[in-house]
Amino acid sequence: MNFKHINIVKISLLLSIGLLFSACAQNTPTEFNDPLEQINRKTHAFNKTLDTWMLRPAGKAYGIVVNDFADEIINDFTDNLSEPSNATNHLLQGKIIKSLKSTARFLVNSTIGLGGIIDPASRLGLIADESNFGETLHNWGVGEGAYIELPFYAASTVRDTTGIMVDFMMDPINSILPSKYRPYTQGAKLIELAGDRNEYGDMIDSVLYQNEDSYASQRLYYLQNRRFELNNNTISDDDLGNPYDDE
Amino acid sequence: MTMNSIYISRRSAVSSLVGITALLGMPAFALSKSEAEELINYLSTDVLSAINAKSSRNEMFGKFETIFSTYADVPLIARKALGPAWRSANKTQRIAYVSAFRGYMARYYGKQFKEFIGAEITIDKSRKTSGGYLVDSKIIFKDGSNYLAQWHVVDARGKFLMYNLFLEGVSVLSDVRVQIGSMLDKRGGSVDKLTSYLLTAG
Repeated sequence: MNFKHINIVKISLLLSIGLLFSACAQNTPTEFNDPLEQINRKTHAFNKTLDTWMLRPAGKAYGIVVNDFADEIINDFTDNLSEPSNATNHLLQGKIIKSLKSTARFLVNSTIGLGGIIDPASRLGLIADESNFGETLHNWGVGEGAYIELPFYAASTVRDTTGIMVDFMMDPINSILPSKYRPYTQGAKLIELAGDRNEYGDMIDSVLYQNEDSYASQRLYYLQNRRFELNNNTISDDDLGNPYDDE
Repeated sequence: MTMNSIYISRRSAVSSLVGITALLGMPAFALSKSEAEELINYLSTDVLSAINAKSSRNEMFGKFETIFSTYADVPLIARKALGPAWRSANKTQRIAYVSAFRGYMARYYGKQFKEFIGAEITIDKSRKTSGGYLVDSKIIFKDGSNYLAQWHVVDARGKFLMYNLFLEGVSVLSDVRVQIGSMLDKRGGSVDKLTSYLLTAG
């Protein structure tokens, strides 16, 4: 009786995981798994409006107010805050050396690097190597799942969205830093967002505003780039077939 | 007859070539890795010199169109970008579409040129694919940031031509396909309307 019960739970769990993470058809790499397209397109329209009226102007303002020197400080500071999370994710993926490197970066930059506002670790040969729980899930064999455009956050997948939530809830920085500093770290991350919008300004503008179908283009860029990155920067053989074969 | 003997005399060279080409199913010339890299080397040099020459926008787009025609298999790319609609188009429509596509590509990608002023492109390595090579290069921008650009070069019947470009894993051909597909949808699937739109789009 118990056995049966467990089986039903297991099967329904497997089914729901299967539905959520039903990997995009592997043999047609340019086809995307986007069953939520209708909702996603509405979110995209919302995000675009948000960009037009808030993020884009904020990026412009950032470009005027913040000079290159201050920009680097903000970048280094927010990057340093994410090192404990990077270290944890590398560890969860079984990449011990990478995990130790991220830990060492955090220790060096938080002390010699004056709380992370400069990056002496890079000069010591400890080059930044970011990770996140989305990548951890990929390493555990979880498929990317459906494409999702998140409000405020733009392009993602079911797997990466799960990753974002896990990273947010379990970020080790929260147990390292006293909570009274939280507003400063969150504030720095918001400013960094405007900084990124400024840095990639022309590129983002061309995707969002000069494209025939900005939704489809953004989906393409996100998914292909993410797959490439998770696949050790390798183009899949499916994308490199002989184009004359179908003649 | 060995390859070495080709160099012995013209006559034997001709006869050996005839012999080789007579072997059905074998390509007349096996294109090499270094030839693929050379193509991308010439291509990127031409693109960068067009960008850095102080010419007008239209002159630059003209140059891009020439470069595109010289180094890339434009009819193949145009056909792949159009997808199934290619099959239903007649010969006149196809020719008009490919020609309009050529100009569109030059303008659409050409207008990003400002980003590339003062940039460098270095060729790193390449690997064999089923119909050609994938040549890895690095685009190094003036501010020091760099991006991975991988060129898919294919053997277009004894001649290497560029077919696709991957920028940090994103396929330019897929990008074009999205654009063209969307334009075609907006015009009720009419290749003629698409072609006349492409003449000025980008």
